[in-house]
Amino acid sequence: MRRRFWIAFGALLCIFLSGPSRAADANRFYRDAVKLYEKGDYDQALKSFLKVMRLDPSNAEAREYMLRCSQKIVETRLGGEAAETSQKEIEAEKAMEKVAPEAPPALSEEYLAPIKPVEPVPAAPAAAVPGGPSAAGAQSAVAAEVREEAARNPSNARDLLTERGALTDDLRRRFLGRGNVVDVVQAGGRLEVTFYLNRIFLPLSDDLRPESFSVLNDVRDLILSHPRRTVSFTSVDNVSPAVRNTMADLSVRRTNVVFSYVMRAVFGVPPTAQ
Amino acid sequence: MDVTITGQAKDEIPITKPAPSAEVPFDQIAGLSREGQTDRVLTGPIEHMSGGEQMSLLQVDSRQTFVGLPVRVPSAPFIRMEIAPGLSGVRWDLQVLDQDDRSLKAAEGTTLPKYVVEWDGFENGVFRLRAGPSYTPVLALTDDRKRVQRTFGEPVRFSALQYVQDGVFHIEFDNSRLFERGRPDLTPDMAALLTASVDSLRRRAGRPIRVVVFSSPGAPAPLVQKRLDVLKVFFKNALVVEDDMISFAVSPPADRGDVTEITTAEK
Repeated sequence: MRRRFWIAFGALLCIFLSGPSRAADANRFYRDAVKLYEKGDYDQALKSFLKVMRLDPSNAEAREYMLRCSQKIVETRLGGEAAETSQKEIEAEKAMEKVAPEAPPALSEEYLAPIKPVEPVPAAPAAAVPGGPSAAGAQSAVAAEVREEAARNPSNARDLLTERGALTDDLRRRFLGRGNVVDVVQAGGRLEVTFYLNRIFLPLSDDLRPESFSVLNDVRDLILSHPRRTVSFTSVDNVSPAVRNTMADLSVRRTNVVFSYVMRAVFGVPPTAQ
Repeated sequence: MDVTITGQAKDEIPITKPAPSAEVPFDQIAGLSREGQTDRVLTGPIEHMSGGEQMSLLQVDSRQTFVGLPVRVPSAPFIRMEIAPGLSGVRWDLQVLDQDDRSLKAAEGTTLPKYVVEWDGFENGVFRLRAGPSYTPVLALTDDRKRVQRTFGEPVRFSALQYVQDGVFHIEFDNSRLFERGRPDLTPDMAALLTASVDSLRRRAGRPIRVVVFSSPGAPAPLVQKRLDVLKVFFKNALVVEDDMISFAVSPPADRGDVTEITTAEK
């Protein structure tokens, strides 16, 4: 009976001590990492923040610092490579980096190593605390939570950068608000506009979708913004052979509608009787 | 001996048609259009105008003339769904789900059409579709073992639509698209569809027209009235119609939602 008591006591002590110890370690690493970051040693700071994240995956501040470190490393490396070039080229590369954040320089293997979830403390015997909540159950619940958190969040620096790149792309698409409905390429003195008819029109119809009018008006504004530019239109329709056989002139009618609408708008005739 | 010889001269006389002078002023040329038929009558040279402005003169924009814009107000069949190759069943049923997941009975049969199933929006003589909500077609195929296979079509939404019910021609606009949010002004995006609706009304000239703006629940009455006033100005400028042939009204919320409805006799 006494032996069982001491086993239970020992297990509880382990659980009690291990938590604060991990938290203390995390705090220590965090403070060190912040100091390194402030010194400008971003490589070491990132390593320390990764350690913090291993100990405390829910630490949002460490995650944010990690993100900043990755960004600083990318900027530093770009700056080093571009040191030999002119200032103008440096700015151009930074601008490119902003436009295409999905292609950062390679990071070391350590940064790319997945962040391992915290190992659960070995479970105490189920009978350790008679009548109380199961310590093993509590531990496994914590471990599951950690794993879930790790799965929810990116596991390494590359994932973080990839995620940021995807978010930027998504934002850009939303900002333009066009998706693949109309593709516009501006090159030199030419403007090439490609209309994707199956997304501009209602299904199997030559009636415009409600949202297509604003897109076509945008195209009109784009053409009018540089009136002396050569403009070429291309229409692409994606209909199945069966529909093409049934509605032979559907694509022709759609093309006629789109081109007529844009041309009327461009040549200054408002598409209204007002 | 006197000999008299008679003959006939057959000299060819060339007839020339000189090309008309290119320097004739425009006001001396009979125009293709007369006052009353177009909004503009040429009275002088146009060389000083830009290419775009000269092109715009070719556009007939009279209140009595069809605009000829290829954009149309969507009309039946409103719902079209392509049948994927290989689909078959002993019974097919095309349902249309609205955005509240309510099913509108659409069409059914035992012989599946070859390429496309479509629906004109009517059920038992009543038009069921509305301008504004989105609709998703669902094709359900039931085989001989009573197993049902469902295929979902692309969701569609109409900012305006036109249909004929009981001899009355209806054009319906979604107010959230027709007017700027919280304002009485017409949106530029709907200009083409409004023009198309005016064309439809011109084709039915001589019949009384009624324009009703239905208010949505909670919409301020002054705003609805202002919107109606904007439409009054628009239609009176766009159509040549006597005052007693066109009427305007504001209506409380109805089952067709927050729409503007234009009606006239079809025949």
